[in-house]
Amino acid sequence: MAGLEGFKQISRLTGVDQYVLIDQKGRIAAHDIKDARRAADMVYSCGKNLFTIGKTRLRYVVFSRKNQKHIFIFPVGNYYLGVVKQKNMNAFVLADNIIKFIKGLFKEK
Amino acid sequence: MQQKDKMIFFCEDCGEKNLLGPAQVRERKAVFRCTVCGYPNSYPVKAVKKNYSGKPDTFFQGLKAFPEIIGSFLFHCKNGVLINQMPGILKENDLDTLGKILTESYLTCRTLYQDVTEMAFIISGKNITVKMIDNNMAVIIASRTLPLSQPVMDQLACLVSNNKTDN
Repeated sequence: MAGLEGFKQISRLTGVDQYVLIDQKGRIAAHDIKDARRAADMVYSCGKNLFTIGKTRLRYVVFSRKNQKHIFIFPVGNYYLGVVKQKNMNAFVLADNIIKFIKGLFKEK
Repeated sequence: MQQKDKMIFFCEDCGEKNLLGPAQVRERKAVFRCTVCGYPNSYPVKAVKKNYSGKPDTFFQGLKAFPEIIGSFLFHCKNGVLINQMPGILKENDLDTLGKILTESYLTCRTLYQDVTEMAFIISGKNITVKMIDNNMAVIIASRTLPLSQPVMDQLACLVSNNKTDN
């Protein structure tokens, strides 16, 4: 994984409320999320399942919520990234920003 | 103004729901500033077809008319595919697998976050929207664009609402 320390900067992105990064075995690599273990299990289970459909073409998955704090799951190399959106952030803008952030990290490597 | 007088409109920019009163819809045009992102919306409102019954068969037939829709199907967690309007290239077994994986993921997320209302799966060039209409049944829509257009969202909301009433 390209610099975990660099990755932790994701929590500073506008619109990111919480995040969790999971490896291929479901272990937490980094997080700033409530109820981290349960969130990690959910992200791992959904990420693994959905990757079987989308393979390398999968960009992300978003679960919309009544409270507007939508949940995103992104494939990041051999990891899965779960993000909880801040309430007032545009979901599509946030998704694009996170994809750019991830691409930026891999370029730095 | 009573809640029942209001209608749901989606912001063209962020896709979030906004409740509008009749005064904000004039001459078949919705004019409002999004309460979430502040985007100034102004778009024509198509009249909902009066023959739309809110029943699944009618809903899936009606979806074919929308250019952004690639296909759709109704999936039951125990009984598999109930209605199939997906392109012929996908076999029934493929749809069963797709429906199973999507609904399982949706329900897995909902065990942790109970207020999940919808799931969207974005792959390059295509989007899949999943909406559970009861504990076992999901409407799955493949589209070229996201968010889905206002008439599609309206009819989907009507289908979900009618299904809740029926149950």
